[in-house]
Amino acid sequence: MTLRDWQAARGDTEHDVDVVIVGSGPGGAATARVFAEAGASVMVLEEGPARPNFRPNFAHTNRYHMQEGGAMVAASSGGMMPIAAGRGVGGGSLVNSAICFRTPDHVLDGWVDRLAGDRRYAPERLAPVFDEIEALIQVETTPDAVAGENNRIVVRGAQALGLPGGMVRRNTPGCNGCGICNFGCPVGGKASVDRNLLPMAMARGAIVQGDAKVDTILVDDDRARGVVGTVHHPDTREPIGRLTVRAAKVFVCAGGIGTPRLLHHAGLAPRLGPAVGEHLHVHPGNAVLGICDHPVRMWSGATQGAYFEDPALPGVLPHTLTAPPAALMVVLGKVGHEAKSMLPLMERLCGCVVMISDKGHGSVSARGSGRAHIGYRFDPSDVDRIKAGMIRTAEVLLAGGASQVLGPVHGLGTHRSVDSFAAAIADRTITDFNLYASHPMGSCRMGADPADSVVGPTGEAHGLPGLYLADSSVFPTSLGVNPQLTTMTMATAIARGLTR
Amino acid sequence: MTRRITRRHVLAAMGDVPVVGALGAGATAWQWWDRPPGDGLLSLSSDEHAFVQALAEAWLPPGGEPAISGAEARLGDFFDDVVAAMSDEQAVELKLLLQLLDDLPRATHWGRPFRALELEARIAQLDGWVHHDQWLLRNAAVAVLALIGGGYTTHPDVLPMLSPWFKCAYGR
Repeated sequence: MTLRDWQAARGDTEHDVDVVIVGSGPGGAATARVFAEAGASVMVLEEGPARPNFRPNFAHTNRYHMQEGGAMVAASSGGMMPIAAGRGVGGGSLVNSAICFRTPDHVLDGWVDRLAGDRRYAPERLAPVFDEIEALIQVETTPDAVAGENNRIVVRGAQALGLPGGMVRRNTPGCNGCGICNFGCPVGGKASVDRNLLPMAMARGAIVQGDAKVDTILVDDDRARGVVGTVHHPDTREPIGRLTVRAAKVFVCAGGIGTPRLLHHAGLAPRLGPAVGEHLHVHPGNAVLGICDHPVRMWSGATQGAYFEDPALPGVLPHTLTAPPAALMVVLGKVGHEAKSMLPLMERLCGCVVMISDKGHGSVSARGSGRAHIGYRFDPSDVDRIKAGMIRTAEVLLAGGASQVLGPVHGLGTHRSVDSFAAAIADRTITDFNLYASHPMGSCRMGADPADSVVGPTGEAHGLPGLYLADSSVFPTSLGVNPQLTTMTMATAIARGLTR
Repeated sequence: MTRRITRRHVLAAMGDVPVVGALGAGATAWQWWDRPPGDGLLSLSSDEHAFVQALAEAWLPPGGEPAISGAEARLGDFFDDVVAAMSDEQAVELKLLLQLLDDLPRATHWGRPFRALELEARIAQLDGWVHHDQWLLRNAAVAVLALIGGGYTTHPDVLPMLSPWFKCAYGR
């Protein structure tokens, strides 16, 4: 088992391996396991800390476990939203809500078309890989023991309205229902990839080096040959040494933000084509809160343990929300002598995030400093679907037991009926919404045409043999569901296709 | 064209707020670009620290339950820690926002910054920002509150109220 931190890589170090992987999140971990189990020598380089450093507050999580320190993006269409992307050995799986939806069949069918009929990621081909991954990361339907009233409200409400839904499938075999997954699991109950796929890879000889930020991709004779990066202290970011890893296969699995940022920063974007960093989708969302007359205690229960769907609203996926007290204080919007009245109210709050499969899109490039430069533009239809989803969600929460509903929308107010809520939200514009996104994807998409994609069906870059991508950045389209399971599954399929 | 929030955005936000052209704000514009830390502080200047303290007290005044105010909870020091841990670029942007917000009341309060206003005046100002129609100003104020809220909700005097609801954090 070889997990290394900054102390193991002082000075200048060099390695020669079969496969080097940049990024240790779901994509990188899945890739590492496949190659290691196939007998390849593998080294995984992770920018973030080798070991988790969890505390339940935004500032600490942004500092240690969010890429770009928590990216806040001002959209050209108006409005701002943070786009969360995880960091650390385990990547996004450290700080996500552990939701495991399979890619909808209609999405995969669309990918077949984008790949000019190549069926390697078609539903029937990925189904056994989904089975495999779900078994390895212990996916199960959120059990009732950790459901919590917040989740039950959504389930009751959806059932009352005849809407499909229920408890979410999650990779949380040891969940105790404390609801702070998004700051990192303090009890090890979440089966993030640092607890399964990466140890499996390390058991077969893979080396995982944390605190190592790659900034250069070595190219020789028109082929990717390795990477170079800096090892740094996790707290001070002081450079400790330079790390060079030469490999026959170079995988970049740094996620929907990290992968295009690196490719731009490394100067490879002109070679790889105009699609590098383009077509970014993020699943933007807002939320609806309910005020109940009974205790809910949203942190006593799985973080996002329930969902529902409305067949009349395709591409809209509401699921339960748990937010930290500081965020709830802001949403409730009280200032001054009334502000402390928000604290006891929190015990009676329930919540549901409303996430959409966005038609809007954005871009990722790199600033001169190396930091990501992210842009985004909302499509008008996205705004309409967010509103429609929020109205339906308000209805579900009221049917499930809330007596009032409100949301982080300027001028929305608090309402006791869905009609009142709907009337109030109708003329809100995008800048009135406090949006949030945590699923960056598609920014180096896979496709048959090098003019509008970065990698082909094998995962190899069109413009640079030897360079492969295997993370959410390769998704040909927006998913519409939480992406970690698709990321692991697709990365496994990509890697397996190269080991046979 | 998409772009990250820049000084131009912040200044444009000022322009949209009805204090545009205020002499006070204009005169301080060119002093913003990275004032040195104050005594005992890691990153914030003394004025920036005083602003955060004043903002925190306006948001969470003394009295009520829990009795401790945002200022008594030393959220200025908490915020100083937060900014010190940020990248230089992020820290400058955030400090710029603090200075912008602090200077906004000058035009309507006889040249006084936010930190120098009486408590009730500060509460009124903050309430106006949090509910302002200009989204950039509103988001700027809310972002600062969300950060300092993380300090208040984890303060030892506040934790006893929150910890019964948490299995894993906030005092447990």
